[in-house]
Amino acid sequence: MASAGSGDEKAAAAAMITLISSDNEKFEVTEATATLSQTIRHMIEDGCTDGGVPLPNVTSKILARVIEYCKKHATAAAGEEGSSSSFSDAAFLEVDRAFLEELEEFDDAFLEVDRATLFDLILAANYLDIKGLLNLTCQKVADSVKGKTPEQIREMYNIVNDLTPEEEAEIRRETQWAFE
Amino acid sequence: MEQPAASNAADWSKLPADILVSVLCSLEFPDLFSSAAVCTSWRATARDLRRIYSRPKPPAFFTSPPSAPRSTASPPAGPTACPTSRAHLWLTATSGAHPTAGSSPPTPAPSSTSSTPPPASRLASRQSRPWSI
Repeated sequence: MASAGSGDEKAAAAAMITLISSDNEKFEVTEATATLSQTIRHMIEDGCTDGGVPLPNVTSKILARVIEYCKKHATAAAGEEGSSSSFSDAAFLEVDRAFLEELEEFDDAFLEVDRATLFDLILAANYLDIKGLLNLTCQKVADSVKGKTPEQIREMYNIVNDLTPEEEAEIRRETQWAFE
Repeated sequence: MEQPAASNAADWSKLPADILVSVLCSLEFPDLFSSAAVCTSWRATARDLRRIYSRPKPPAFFTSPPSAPRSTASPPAGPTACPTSRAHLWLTATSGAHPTAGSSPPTPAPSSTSSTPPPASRLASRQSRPWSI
């Protein structure tokens, strides 16, 4: 993830980017954190981040959570790279595992949100193009759907059943042979 | 602009299709079916996924061993008993798994159902069927 040379890295660490949420709240983040978002990375590359990056699709509440995620994962990535030089292989593996475990725990805790927040996080991750966060949140939805009936899924996600009677009949026909 | 404390008002049926694809594509058979019966947008996405999954399979009837499925004989569920759509489904689904014709033992007598092992392809077809709607 890091840029080419160590000189560049220092410069990147020093550079701060201002993100502006839809409700006009400003968030200062390091470039390393911000560039977890491909969308923002491209903006930085194009040199159009002076005066802040407006994110009209993301509220401050969601942006704060997204930044929390990016900070954690950016430092984890940086930590992994930094540690590799100063430890022997075995020790490095230990550290590596500890990092991953910590990161997993963080992700689990991070996903402890209500469904509306989860929905907004997905949209934000999609808009900002943060692969890790998008995968994480989509997987959370997929896991929550497992073993549920359509009715339970609808209830869980507040989805109105807009299927026509014909479509429902067709579905019944499909599932009949599938489950028999 | 205003999102009136959007909590719990998020409309999950309006999840963009590409995101829904990433959600549903990690699901397997029974869950994919349940998701397909939730609402029209989920149904459309789930169907697209199934179409993608089932596309690469070649048609079975060129390679199917002649004795394999029909000699199971215990229920007389020959292909004629199925409506055409089901027969088609069954055919496409078996295509992936069955052994090549040469490997099946020469068991010409269809009546001796006792000792002949049920062809694995039939069992496999039960599991792999869902992908081919």
